[in-house]
Amino acid sequence: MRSRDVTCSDGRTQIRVERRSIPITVLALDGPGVDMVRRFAVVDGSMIIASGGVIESAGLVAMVRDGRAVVTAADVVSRTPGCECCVLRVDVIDAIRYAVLRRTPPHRLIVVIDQPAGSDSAAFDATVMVHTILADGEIMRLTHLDGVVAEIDGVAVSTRASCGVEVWGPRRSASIAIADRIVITGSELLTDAGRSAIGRLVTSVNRVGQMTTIAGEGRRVDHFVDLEAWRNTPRVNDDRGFERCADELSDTSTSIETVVLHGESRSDADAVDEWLDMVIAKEPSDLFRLQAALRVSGEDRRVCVHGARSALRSRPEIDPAPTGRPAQMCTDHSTVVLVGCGLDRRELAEGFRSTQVSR
Amino acid sequence: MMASTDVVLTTVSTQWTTELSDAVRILDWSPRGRLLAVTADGRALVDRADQITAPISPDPRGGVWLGDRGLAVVDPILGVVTSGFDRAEPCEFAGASCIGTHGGRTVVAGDGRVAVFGHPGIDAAPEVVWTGVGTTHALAHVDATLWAVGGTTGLALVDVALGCLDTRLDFPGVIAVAAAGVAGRLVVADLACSVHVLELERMGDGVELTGYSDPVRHLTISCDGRVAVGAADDQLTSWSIDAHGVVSDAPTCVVAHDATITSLESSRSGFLASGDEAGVVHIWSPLLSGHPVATLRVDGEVTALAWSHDGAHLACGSVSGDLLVADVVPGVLA
Repeated sequence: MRSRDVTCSDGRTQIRVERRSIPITVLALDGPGVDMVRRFAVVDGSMIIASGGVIESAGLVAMVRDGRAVVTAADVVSRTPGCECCVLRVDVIDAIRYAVLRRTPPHRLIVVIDQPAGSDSAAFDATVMVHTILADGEIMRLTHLDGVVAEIDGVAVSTRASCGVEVWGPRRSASIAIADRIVITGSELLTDAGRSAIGRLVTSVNRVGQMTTIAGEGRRVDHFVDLEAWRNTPRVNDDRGFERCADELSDTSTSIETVVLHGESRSDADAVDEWLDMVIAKEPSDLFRLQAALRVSGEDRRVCVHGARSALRSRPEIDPAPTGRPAQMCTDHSTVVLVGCGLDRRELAEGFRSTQVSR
Repeated sequence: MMASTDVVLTTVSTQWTTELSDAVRILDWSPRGRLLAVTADGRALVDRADQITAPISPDPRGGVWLGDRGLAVVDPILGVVTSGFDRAEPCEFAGASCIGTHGGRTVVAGDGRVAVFGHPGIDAAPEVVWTGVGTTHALAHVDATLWAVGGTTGLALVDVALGCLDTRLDFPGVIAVAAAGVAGRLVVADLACSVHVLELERMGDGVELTGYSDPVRHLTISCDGRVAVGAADDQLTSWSIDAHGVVSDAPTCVVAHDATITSLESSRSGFLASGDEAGVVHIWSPLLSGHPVATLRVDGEVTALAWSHDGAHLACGSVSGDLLVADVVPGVLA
């Protein structure tokens, strides 16, 4: 919140309350999610925004009464009728506003997507949730996206994989692909081979997140929050080795892929704007996540860009030296990470290269 | 436009202030000038700072005076909670999010439907009309028995006397509606960052105003329907509309605040109040669009504003629970 002097007509002086941006974690559940949500609801300072009929019927209404949880219905709208890339969760926008605009706002918000079995509605799509948060100016004024967490029921996934049936549907695959953390539960019930198979399945679709395996009742809130993954530089796992890994898993049924682009030179500001506009305009509903740290002519600090579908946000880089990497290496490079379906690597690489000016 | 001296001489003085337990969500004045303030934790201040109820609603979304002695508050969980009547239990209505009253009828809008109560204090079985516009996000009384309901999939006009849907228009997520019944005119803001000016006589032939980068969440129209004002970010934009519904090509834009505008309310006498996220409330005259005629300040983001029916009082509520009531006296020349 900005500070300035204002002369009031009545000469009244006030002490202004500072408001901080509330972090939002999007949690895409799989398996026994209701128990997890109940546990979170008693964590000090968190507020749950639950999205899905399963949770509502499991008794969360009682929690609403003591101000800890907000249960919403699936209220989905498209900003441009018929345009899938512009789908927004209006109920979530309202719920976040009402949750945050309190005298003592919650320490953090956890938006839970608990997709009912058999439902393939956009209401339960993590990319729609992320797009909603990034696209709405009012939400971005009050909050920021902390991270996306996908929970995987290890036993169910392992069983489906070993039976040769489809492991994840398209929406679930997209949730896993953009997740900053993938939490695999029930690991104590898995064999080594099962664990390994799940690991390969996850890495075949997700290159930006960390995998965490949890045994028994070991889930803690810090497995899911305070990721700070959507404000700064993109994280990419095993940059150079991923292509090899993906090749080994060529039998995977998913068409989701991650494209990572590196640039040694600075990009022209107008050219990079034009290129980003073109990228999100081409097939926005198939672009699940875009994250970049760009060296741009005329800017001292890299510009961090993050987006999903048709929404993009940018801000100057906060910390130029991510943990474990030399600062020089990070600040000298531009990195772009795109996660989506049917991405044309060559075209994207050529487009990005064309934005760069000679050193 | 030249400022008239009497407008510049408008004075605003704080009548009283108080600090409530949570963010002020709802403000409403009764016809005789009694104030209702409802906080986010469901407590209601009734008329005076020392008259505060216990929590009556877990998640209040709207509230109105019903006459001068009764009031109703809606929330999506309980439905309609009334006070000042013989009724102790709330009237259940799923998703209730907006409420308004006019001509002895009280209208509550919820998930895809509106409930029309003869009197919420005693009438337990409302007439329900399906709107077909999804979950309600905005409600406005238009004229006589006609109400406008904005929802996820568009705008519905409901005739509450006949108990039927009059008109339905598809818009991508209606988030604000304002109406000038005398002029038979509506303004509607949607999630696609457009504002639509609609005439009751030809609802399907409205004017779409574009150019905002963000949706217009705060919208108002003068009582005569000749000026519509929208707030987005730190700007106020006003459009002049002639008697035939023709909107001027050149709206007036003013950078009205140093922070994002979070509340907007116009009085029946034509004054406009706008509040921002830093707690500043500006009062604007229709005759002086470039500069506020007065400024007030509350503690924290302005979350609610309400003019009394006679336009003599303005109530301002903030996210920190600060409530300020000010007297507004239009200037006069000796």
